[in-house]
Amino acid sequence: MPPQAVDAVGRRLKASYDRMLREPIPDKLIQLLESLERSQASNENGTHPDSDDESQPDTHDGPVQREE
Amino acid sequence: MTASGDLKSRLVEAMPNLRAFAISLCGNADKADDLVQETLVKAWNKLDTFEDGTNLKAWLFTILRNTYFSQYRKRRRELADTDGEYSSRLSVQPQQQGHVDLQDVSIALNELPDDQREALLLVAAEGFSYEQAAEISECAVGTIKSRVSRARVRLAELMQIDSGDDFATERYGSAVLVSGDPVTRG
Repeated sequence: MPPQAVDAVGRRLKASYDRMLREPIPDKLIQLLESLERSQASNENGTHPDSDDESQPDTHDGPVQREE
Repeated sequence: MTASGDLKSRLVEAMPNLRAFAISLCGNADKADDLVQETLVKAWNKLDTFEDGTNLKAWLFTILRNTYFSQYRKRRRELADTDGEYSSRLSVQPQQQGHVDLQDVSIALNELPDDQREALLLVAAEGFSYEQAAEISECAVGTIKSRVSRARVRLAELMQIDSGDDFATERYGSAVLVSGDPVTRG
C-alpha cells in the first residue's frame, strides 16, 4: 500500500469526522445534562427534588433516562 | 462537584466529539445517542473521581469506550445488517451533502475490527496522541501504534484508494469528491 494512499485515508477520515463535529447536538442530550444539573442542585441544597418528577441521576445505572 | 455551570459548559463542549466518536464506533446514530447519554449519566455520577486539571475529554472518552465494549459491541454485531440502512438514512439529508462522503468512510470503517477502528478514530480522527489513546484504551502505546497502522492500510484497501489524490476508484457507493467546502449547519 503506497504511503500516499494511507495518508489519503487519514485525510478523508478526518474530513468526515470534522463534518460530524459540526452537527448540532441533539436536544435530548442537552436536556439530559440539564436534568442532571437540576438533580445536583437539589442535592446541594439539602432538599429532595420533590417538585421535580425526574429521578436523581445516581439511581440511573442501567437504562438511559429518556426525555421527550 | 462545584461550579456545575462551568462543568456543564465543558461537557457541552465535549459533546460533539463524544457523538462523533460514538457514531463512528457504533455505526448507528440511534445507538450512538444512547451510548452518549449513558456516558454522560455515568460521568456525572462519578465526577468526584475526575481529577481537575486532567483532560476531561479523554476521561469522557474512556467512559464511553468502556461502556461500548462492555455493552454495545454485542448489539453492534446484531445490527451488522443494518449498516446499509444507516448509510441510506444519512444520504437522504440533502442539506448535509458532506454525508455522501462520510457514508463511504463509515461503511469502510465498519469493516475494521473494533480495536483497530477505535485506535484509528482516537488518533487519526480525534487527534489524541498515541500515549493518550493508549491510556483511553487501556493498552500499550506500541499496541495503539500497530492498530492505527494496520487500520490505515486496511481502510485504504477497502476504499481502494490507489494514490494520494485520486479518490475516483472506490468500491463503496458513488465516488463523490468533496472539495472541503464548509458544510452549513442545518
